[in-house]
Amino acid sequence: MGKGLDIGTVNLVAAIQDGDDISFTKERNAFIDVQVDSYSKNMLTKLNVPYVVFDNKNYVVGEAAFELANVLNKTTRRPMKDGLISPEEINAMPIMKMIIKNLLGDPDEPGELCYYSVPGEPVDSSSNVTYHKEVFAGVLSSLGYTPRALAEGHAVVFAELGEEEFTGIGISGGGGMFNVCVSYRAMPALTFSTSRGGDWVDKNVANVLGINQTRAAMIKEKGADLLNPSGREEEAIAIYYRNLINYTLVNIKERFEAGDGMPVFSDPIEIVCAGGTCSAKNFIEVFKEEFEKIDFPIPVKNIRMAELPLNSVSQGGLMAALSE
Amino acid sequence: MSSESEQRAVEAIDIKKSIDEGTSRVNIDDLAKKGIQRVKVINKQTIFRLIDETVQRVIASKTNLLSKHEREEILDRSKEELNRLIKEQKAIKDKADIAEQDKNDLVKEVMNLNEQIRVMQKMHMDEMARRYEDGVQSQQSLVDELKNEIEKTKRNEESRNTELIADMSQRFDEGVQSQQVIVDKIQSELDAVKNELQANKSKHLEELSSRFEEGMKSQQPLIDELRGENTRLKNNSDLTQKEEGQNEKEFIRQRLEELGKSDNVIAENMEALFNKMSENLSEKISQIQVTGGGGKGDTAYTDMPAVSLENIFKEELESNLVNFDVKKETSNKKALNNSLSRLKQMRGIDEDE
Repeated sequence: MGKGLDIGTVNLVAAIQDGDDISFTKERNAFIDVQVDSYSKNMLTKLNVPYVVFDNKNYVVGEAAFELANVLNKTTRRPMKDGLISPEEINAMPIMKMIIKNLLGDPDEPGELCYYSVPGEPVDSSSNVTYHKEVFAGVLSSLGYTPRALAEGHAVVFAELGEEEFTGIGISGGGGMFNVCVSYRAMPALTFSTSRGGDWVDKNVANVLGINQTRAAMIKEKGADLLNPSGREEEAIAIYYRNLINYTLVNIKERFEAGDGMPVFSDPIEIVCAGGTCSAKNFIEVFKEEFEKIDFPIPVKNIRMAELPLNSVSQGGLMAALSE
Repeated sequence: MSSESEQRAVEAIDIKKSIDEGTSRVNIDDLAKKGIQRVKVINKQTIFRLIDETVQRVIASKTNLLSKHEREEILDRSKEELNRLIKEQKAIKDKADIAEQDKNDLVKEVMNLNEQIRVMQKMHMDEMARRYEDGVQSQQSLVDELKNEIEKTKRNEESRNTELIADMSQRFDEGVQSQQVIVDKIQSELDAVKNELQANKSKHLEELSSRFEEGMKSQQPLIDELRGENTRLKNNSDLTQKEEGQNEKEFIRQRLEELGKSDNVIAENMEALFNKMSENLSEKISQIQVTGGGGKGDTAYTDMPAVSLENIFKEELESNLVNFDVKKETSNKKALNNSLSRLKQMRGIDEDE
């Protein structure tokens, strides 16, 4: 038995074995303060708006917080930033724990394994993942699970590259980061992250269009076409997406060229992209265009999107748990 | 003469040369300067043809094969023919002149039309420029009005910002002041505790001192007795006397050390107690959070309580989350079974496990 959990800056996704199926439960990793009394609490429940009471204050959580923020033209509060626990919201961890508990449910047996995603060490910032890793290990332990950390890019390899003997490059494009794992026969030869993701796109689009970041995210998530953008907003999104992809590819190339002990691949490998940020329309086409522009150091036979881009990381975690 | 010999006689005359020698080339501009605007032009081939026809007729008229009447008739016919030819030639020339005239007229007309177009274009441009100027002038008031509006909005915004900053500053000051009162209160409590501790310490030291004095007093008879004994034994020997003196000193030293040790223990306990109280107070001060200020971003931000990791792991919050089914997607696991088996194999795990 076991479960997989993708702890993302934007979304939390759990993967749970359910007979012959895998069920994925998902919630947005955000909340917003609301002023409510006991009467309003009942109303929120009737309106299917989830809330958490913490220190005598009320917080609407998850997707409802995102929608509420858009209606009120406010910005959601986010427990995570740039792929890690946000220093500004460290005290919001009990709220996040409640969301995780709701997604995972109780363990099927005491100490059930739960593989949770952690970012690779960032190559472009001084952030360190140790604290982040330990805090979530503590959260899962307190929920009755035995926690195991798994690099996000490695989880994508587990979920998507089975047919390739788990050899290739797994990329997870999230809200806060892009995580990369170069794997040789299921062993991670290189894992790292870059501190640019979907939030970086939202932030820059918000700046150039003069709107708030939550609104920019909503426009992006409505389904901007990266190859054929229509309108000023989609054009801005496409420009920053292209820049983000190029930045990630250049970083992979540089790490390959600088890294010692990198595996030598006898055959061309496959690159697979997953994550919410990679789900934009024509992402792979733009990725291929940018890939052609750089002289990539290893032969690549195919670049493709994960079968379930949003669920890939949690599915990789589940596979890691089930394979133990 | 046969026609062949006649042909030779005509060819013997170099007509081309004769024309070249008998004519001169004049530049058209020079003719124009002389006031000659139009000239008649005859083509060389036509000249040759006319001469040839005339000669043929002259030769024919000079033969004796024809009667006089016939010759006169031929001559008349030749004249008529010549006149007809001249007339024909003239008609052609007139036609050429008319065509030339028509051509010149057309050129003039084209030039005239071009000039008309140019003038119309200029008029159109002038009209556009005039209309643009009129438009600008008519919109100027609107532009001025908008400028004034923008200026007014700017001023209002600046004024609002100034008020907002002043308000925030005031709120911040109030917050700081309200916290300062608490800090001052705690500081005064801390000072009071310190003073009390100091007083207790002094009191205790005095007590210890008096106890020491009392101890010394209580030991005085023994000291006196020892001194007497010492005196009594003084005469026995210098060595014995010296040993006795040392014993006395050693005894007193030991007693004093014992008293000092107990004093140190009490002082250490008091110091530990004092430190503990100080730490508790410092912790209380550090937990005080400033609640004033403008918050973060445009969210209605409220500060959260400081949460320790231990609390994160323990705390259960009130929530209605359990009332909702989370969004669920399903995917067939069978598709992953091959990958899972392969992964287990690579990790060296028996499939049956």
